Amino acid sequence: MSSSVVHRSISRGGIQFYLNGERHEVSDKFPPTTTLNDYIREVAGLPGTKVMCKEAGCGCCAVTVTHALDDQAPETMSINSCVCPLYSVDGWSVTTTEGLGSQRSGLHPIQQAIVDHNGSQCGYCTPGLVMAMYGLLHQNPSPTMKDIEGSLDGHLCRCTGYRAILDAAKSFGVDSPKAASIDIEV
Amino acid sequence: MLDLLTKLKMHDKVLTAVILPSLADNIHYRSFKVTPRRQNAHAYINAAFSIPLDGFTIRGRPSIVLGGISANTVHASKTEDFLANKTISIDIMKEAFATIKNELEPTESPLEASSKYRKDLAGGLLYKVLLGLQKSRAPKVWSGPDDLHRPVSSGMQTFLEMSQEFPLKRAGPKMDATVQVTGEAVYVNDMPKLQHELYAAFTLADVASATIESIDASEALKLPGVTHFLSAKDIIGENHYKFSGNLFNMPQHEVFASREVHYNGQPLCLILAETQGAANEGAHRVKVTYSEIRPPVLTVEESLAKDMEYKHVRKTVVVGEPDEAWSMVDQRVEGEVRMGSQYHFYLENQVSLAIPSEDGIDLYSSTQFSDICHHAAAQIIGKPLNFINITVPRVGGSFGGKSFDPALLSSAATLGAYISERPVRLNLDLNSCIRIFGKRPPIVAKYKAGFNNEGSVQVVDIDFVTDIGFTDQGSMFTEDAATYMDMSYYVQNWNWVGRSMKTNKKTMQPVRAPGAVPSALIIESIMEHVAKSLDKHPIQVKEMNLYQNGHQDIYGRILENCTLKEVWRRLKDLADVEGRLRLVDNFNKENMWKKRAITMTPCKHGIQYFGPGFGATVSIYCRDGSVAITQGGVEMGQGLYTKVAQGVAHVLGVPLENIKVRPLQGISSPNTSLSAASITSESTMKAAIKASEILKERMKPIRDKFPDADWKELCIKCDANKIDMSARYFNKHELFDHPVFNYNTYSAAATETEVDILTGESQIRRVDIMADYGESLNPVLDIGQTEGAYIMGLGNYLLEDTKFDMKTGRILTDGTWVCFVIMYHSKSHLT
Repeated sequence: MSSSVVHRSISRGGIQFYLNGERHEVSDKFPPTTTLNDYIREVAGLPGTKVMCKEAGCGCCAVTVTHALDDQAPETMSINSCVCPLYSVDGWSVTTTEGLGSQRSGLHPIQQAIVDHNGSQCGYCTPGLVMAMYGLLHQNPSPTMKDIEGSLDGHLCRCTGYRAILDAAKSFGVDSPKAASIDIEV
Repeated sequence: MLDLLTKLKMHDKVLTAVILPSLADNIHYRSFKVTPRRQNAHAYINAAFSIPLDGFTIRGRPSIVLGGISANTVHASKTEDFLANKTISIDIMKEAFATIKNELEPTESPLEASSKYRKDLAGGLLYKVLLGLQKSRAPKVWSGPDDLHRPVSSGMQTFLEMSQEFPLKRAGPKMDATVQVTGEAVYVNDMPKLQHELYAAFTLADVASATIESIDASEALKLPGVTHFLSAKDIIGENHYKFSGNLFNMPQHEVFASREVHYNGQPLCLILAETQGAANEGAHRVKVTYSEIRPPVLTVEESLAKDMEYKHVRKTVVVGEPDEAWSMVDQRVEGEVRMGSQYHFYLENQVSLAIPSEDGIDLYSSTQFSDICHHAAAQIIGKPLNFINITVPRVGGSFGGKSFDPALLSSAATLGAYISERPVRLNLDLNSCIRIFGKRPPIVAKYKAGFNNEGSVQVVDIDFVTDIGFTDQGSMFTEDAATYMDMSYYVQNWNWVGRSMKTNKKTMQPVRAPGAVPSALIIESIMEHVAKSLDKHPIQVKEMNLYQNGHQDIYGRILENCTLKEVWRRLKDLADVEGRLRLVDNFNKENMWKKRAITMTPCKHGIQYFGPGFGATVSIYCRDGSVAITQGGVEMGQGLYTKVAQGVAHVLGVPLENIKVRPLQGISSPNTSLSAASITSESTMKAAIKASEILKERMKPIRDKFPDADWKELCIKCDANKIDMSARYFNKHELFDHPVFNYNTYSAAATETEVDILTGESQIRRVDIMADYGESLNPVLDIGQTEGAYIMGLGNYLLEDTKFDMKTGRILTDGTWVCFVIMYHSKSHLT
């Protein structure tokens, strides 16, 4: 994803960023309280990113972002888009679950793992979990199952009781019995 | 450091760095944060201990800092003074423990753990630290200083498949899992915004018992973007969202309070605006004046004291001859069981979207029960039912919470759309959902049980008191608890009295297994109590009292095919319960401050085909043989669509990939049942199978003529022969010849737990579940339901509750920060 990080916008009052690889130029027309989640769902029309608690407590709105602090290497991580102000993402690259895979383009290995492990029931927490896992694999490309299990606490699921989701996620652990080497980039 | 944090005036200053010097080698440092769950939870107490040591002697004054005692972080100064220059010994530790408990005065607050628990916890943490320093300690206290160890979790599932009937009964992933993981699945609120659409927000009552004098929306209407204000006076039809059939004994709930406010959070009016932000702000600016505000009644005890029982729905069940039985028993126990109120916490908040069409309203609702939303929408605008065209796309979790209450949103959104002549989206935020909607009814139950010296329970007496909120509709859960009072145990004599109490809360709503959850808690508590009084293991006593084949249940029905004992025995073997009980006993002998236990819990769960039934329409497109199904059930995560498709694929002999299952639509599935109580998938699947059989019968003459034609060719030939390739079947629900349940399922769980005696923290170490659901229609989906239900039940019993401001009646647990939905790193505490 680092290749699509853009330089900070120099135009006053507006920002630009990449969303699933597509460049978005955003003028200053939205209220400053507009969140990244509002923009993704309502302006960009990508409702795969869900919204629920609006206080970063449930995780269903998670997306991954790539950005660089001044003179540091770009870093990719998952964040809760519901508490991320839209106008703070100038120069960032944002990925949602639609950016990872689709019925037509085929599923990303993380998405496929959730399907294979029956990790989605109502499906409302699912895109957030996919993106949390995607962010984690960028932060730590060789996580252990313990690393993975310790990283997904910010995501609530009421349907599954978590076991199936954790099994899907832990299949990416280096110490997983079914460990597969994957290319997480899309 | 504490001085810096508390005394430094930060006005006109910016903190640029905090430099923490490294600790000297002789400093023993340890810190704790004890929370209900690991993430997103306020600590009961956090504590840090910094102790300068020389051998086992404290050199100088230690530093002990605690948070969670009051609003400020505090030093335990007296304990610091006491420990200064002391050599650590058992006596010193005991005295330090007493000192810290005496000096701390935790403030009481409804959202905090009790003051007593927090004192004990502070003492326990200090004890842990000092015990860790006391090198010569006895082996059985070695594990005292440690935190509970939580290894990486793992799970294993096994099941039998009926391969001769594939794809029916095949264990396979949900067909719609693909669109869920990619975000392509469409929930109501994912439907794109329409041109000229308006957003809506309710103004909620901020008192719990009051009479409305006036509602003034003039300030709201001045806000840019606010277009409409709708209250009870604007309702064209009827101001209630009631199911118009005779099911569920549903009383009238006003859509907007017309005069009386019955609970804090009750909707009073609706603001429509061009944006959600303007609607929310407008709703806040509505000024409500009350002519009388009364103190709210918020507990069972208060309701009892004020004689507020709904006496007309008192439920009394007498089985056998309880009075005689009491004179025969060897021993008796009595006790009390309490359970709080669990919020459903579906991840998709409640939402309705109403769109004016050329001659009606197109309505989209996130509901388990399309009929009630349909009725309520028509009623509020005084139109016939065919004015409303309802669709229920997939639902993002419901757990009973989208049974009746979504009708409130459907009717309000429909009224808004009808009056404004614009599309209206009413999508509530989490806080509003928690404040507005009913939850699991809290209970207080007193029990008495009589039993013989072996532990066979002969008679049980239960006084069940439950808080059902401001209307008597909640008495359905009292009925339901009575229905399940015996759960898995063969007790021949019962005296069960259920009293439903009125309070200033929203009418309680069904939450996953609403009858079985309280009844299981009560009867399991009784069995554990009987075992304790006989000094036997609860597993032994429970096993002795289990139902078995040929027993007569409390309804007088002889149990046939009752596999409960078999399930219990096999689980006990498979999970090596006997062997592990010995390990647990050894562990407990060797560890003074950590204790483990194993118990088993059985579950006979009756399945009841209630309501009118479910229908399905199966259509075959002749040109390519692809199949589409519309049906009367709601897909809320349970895998309904997948099971329906499996059934149709099995009958028609087509691959699953050829089949699509479409959402419930009122036009093709009118008068349908509530999708609930684990009956929807199998009942809808049966309807779809029957419809497929009708099609197969119609196609038979063509098939007989062309026995070798492949499916597509056959469909083309059917087209040429003008066969009607769409068929509907309605699976009418009947109880057959059974008094209450169509059939029972039998399952059992063995659960191993561990508790840290010094902190009260506990954790589940291992769970084994065995279930006999008959021949599963899709074992992996049924396992998903089982695991999810088990964990949601744990949340209910151990962690989750609803707390109120006792003055205003406002729910305090109205967000993720305080409504402790169970996570996989949840611990529970004896707080």
